[in-house]
Amino acid sequence: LAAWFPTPLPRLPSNLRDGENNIASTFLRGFFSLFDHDRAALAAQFYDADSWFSVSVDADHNRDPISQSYIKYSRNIGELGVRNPGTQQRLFMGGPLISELWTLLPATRHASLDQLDQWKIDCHTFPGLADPSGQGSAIGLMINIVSQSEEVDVRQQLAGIRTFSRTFVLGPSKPGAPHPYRVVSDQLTLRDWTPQAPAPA
Amino acid sequence: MAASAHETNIRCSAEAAKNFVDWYYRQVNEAKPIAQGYVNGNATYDRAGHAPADICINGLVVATPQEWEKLLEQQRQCPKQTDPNQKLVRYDVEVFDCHVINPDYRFAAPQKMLDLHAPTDGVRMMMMLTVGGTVYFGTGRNKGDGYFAKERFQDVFILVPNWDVLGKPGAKVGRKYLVASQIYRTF
Repeated sequence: LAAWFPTPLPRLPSNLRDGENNIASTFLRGFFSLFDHDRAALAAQFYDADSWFSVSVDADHNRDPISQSYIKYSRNIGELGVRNPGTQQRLFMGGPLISELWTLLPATRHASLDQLDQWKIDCHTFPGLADPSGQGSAIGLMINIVSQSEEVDVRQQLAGIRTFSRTFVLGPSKPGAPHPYRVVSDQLTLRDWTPQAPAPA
Repeated sequence: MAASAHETNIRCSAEAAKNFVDWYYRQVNEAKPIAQGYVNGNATYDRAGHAPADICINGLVVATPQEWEKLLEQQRQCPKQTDPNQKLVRYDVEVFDCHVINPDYRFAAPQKMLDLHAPTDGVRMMMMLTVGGTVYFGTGRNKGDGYFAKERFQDVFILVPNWDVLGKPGAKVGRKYLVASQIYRTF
């Protein structure tokens, strides 16, 4: 069969190279639980005045009804174009603004990180971030996640299963922050969606 | 609603992202080399002691961009297929987004570039780029062609300035930003 058609590459399990403090595992466990239950608290803990967030909708595949709740914020540069004012306006900076946007997005429920088959998480450290103290450079952690979550749009009475990817860059925090590291960049991409029976009211 | 101080960086990073995405997936789709798009082998970064690009392909760490090219080549193999419309692997990009993660990138930068470009100029940018799309296997060149199998892909890159190219105004050849990290996943 392989000789007749090109073949996909093998898929290995998550590849977590996040250093000896296992920052990625600790961060993600807290992150998705809070994202499902208390987004404002999450933004206050890990996002500072210089954090960036954007969401983008994969326009070819997500003509689903629930995407309408995201699409006016979608920063898909390929679709908007480089010079569209949307590429400026749909990039959200700072904890308060990010938190405000999150309240407008559909509710979610993510699987526990203990369900390993539900998550593909790859991460590694990299050099070259700016040190927040202004002295020299710092090590960053890049994390990429592919997973699914239950997604509910209360206003539309719609529920479904969303495949998403989410990518973080973590870096050291500014002095006085609640955690030693902060979210420098958070990019959420919405992929395929399948409807579910509406959640009970 | 980004602060106006960031406007140039946001516009320039979006442009850099688009240029990179257009180039990278065209090279991949035409079975051409991509290694020159990585920091590995860049004389300025090599001299300054930059680590090789960290490349993780579906959970597998590969040591060099050439090894990744080899995997892509392997993926394209189908010697028994004679129909040209069923021979290709095609990557269709459907979504991409890019943030500046360090507007004041300095590693291996010539003094001239530090003097010439402030962190608000949209030049000395370290960026995080995410790309999503579909891979078609056993297909032709164009959207809508039949295929044998498909899967979604997600690519993430950290891009850093190519000082050799950015330092020469009007340079027409070479990549302006180079890959320092890559995570690739299909699902």
